[in-house]
Amino acid sequence: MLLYVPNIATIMQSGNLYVYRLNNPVYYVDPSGSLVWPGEIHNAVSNHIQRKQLRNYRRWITANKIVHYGGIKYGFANLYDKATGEVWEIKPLSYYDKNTKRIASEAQLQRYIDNIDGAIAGSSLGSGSFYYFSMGKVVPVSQVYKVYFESHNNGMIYYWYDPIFNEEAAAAITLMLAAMAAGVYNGSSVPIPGF
Amino acid sequence: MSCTIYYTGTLKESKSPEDVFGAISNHMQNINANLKQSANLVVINFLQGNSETLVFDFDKNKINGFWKWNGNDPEEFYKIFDMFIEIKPLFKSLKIDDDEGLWNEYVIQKQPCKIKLRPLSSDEMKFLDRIKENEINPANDIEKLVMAKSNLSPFYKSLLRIIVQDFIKIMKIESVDDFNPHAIIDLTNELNFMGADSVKEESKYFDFHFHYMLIKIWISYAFEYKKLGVVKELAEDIRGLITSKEAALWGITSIFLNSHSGGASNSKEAEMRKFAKKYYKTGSLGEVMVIDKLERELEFFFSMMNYLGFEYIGVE
Repeated sequence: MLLYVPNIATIMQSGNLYVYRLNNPVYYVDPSGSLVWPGEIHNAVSNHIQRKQLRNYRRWITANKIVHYGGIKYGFANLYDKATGEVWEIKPLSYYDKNTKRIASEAQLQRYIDNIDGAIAGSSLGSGSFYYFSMGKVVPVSQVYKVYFESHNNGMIYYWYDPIFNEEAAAAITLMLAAMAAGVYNGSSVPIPGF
Repeated sequence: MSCTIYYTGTLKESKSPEDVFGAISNHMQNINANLKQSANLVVINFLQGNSETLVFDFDKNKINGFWKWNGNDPEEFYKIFDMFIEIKPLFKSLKIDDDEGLWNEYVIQKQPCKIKLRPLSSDEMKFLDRIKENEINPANDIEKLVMAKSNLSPFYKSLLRIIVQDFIKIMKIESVDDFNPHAIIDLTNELNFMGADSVKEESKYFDFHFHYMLIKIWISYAFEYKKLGVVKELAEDIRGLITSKEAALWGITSIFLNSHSGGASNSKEAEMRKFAKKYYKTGSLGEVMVIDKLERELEFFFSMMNYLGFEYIGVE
């Protein structure tokens, strides 16, 4: 049996959120296949945190801070707060559980800190969860993801995500439509109420 | 979009940084970048996007570093993988890893699948019987609580419910009030499953990590490894055990429980994912193939776990 994942744009045009119900497929593997690139979620976390900090704390955090190592060598820190000099690195949650990767990513963060004047490891930006709408750039298929992130006081931010369907996806789309109607939709993600 | 590649390696004695420079030069036509070499440095400067400078800084023929890709075109990223494949023969050892597990998937995809699909054994049929019983009997309050705490929302809950039932037995949870995050964290740390210090702060991180603790505890108690004994009783230095545990943890959560944190954690998990894709294909329009036979999901599950060296023994 083949099931087609519906396109969010089509659903929005139809006005019928129940189109999104898929009668609950019983077996399903590689549900993240519609992600153009796993780094898409990485960027969604970065964007969400930036917007949340700006909205809630009027705090301007920029993404991809350029880091000069001398000569033509340079790198990019994931998040940087110019006002405080704090730097953050964003990684999948699997890094939290894998010692060698955790050490490597902390060394990576340290290298950025060492090469930015006055930079320090970022403080906690809290934990949270949001719905992310991937518009599927390779195939014309959209997908709703529930994304979780947690940040630590050592400048590390970890994330994981679940593709969602059925009622929860319909609820997420309702939230997105409400955000659009209120003029506060930010393009790709909607905070989950309660976070 | 962003992804970091980590690399560490040692050149063959007969090879030099100049040889690496030469091999990369041949590959450069595929990449929009400048290439420079001086003394022990090989430097690749990208001309588009925001990718970092890729620097091989040889120290006594050894390199150890990372490169963050911030480009707009994922194809460029894979071209860098091809470049690493190109220069690999110049090295005695060259280890590559990345944030999203893409290297593992990329390399494994080029090789034949090592996992063989096989029918269920008689013991595994008992597992199937349990699932069929569960379909008749609704989840009790404890099961509902643990499933909700797990934050997992697989498309088919049969495997999750078995995991939850085993977990409840392992933790000796007899009522909803017995659910004790502290005891779960203590046990997870005691199991030393991929690092003893992975879970430290109960209240702050419990909700984020519980589903991984659930799977770690289940694998440790309910599986044997290569007939050597129950996983929780085995020393970590047994050949292949750590990578199998890692692949089982992330493979079960992503393939069967619909929870993701990037690509494959290691080559064994990449093998599992390739095996899954062989049977559950997504098409050019994003269509998803679903199979409506319970036995088939368990055949996939046990074929994969057997490949990793694990055999389900259940929980007393």
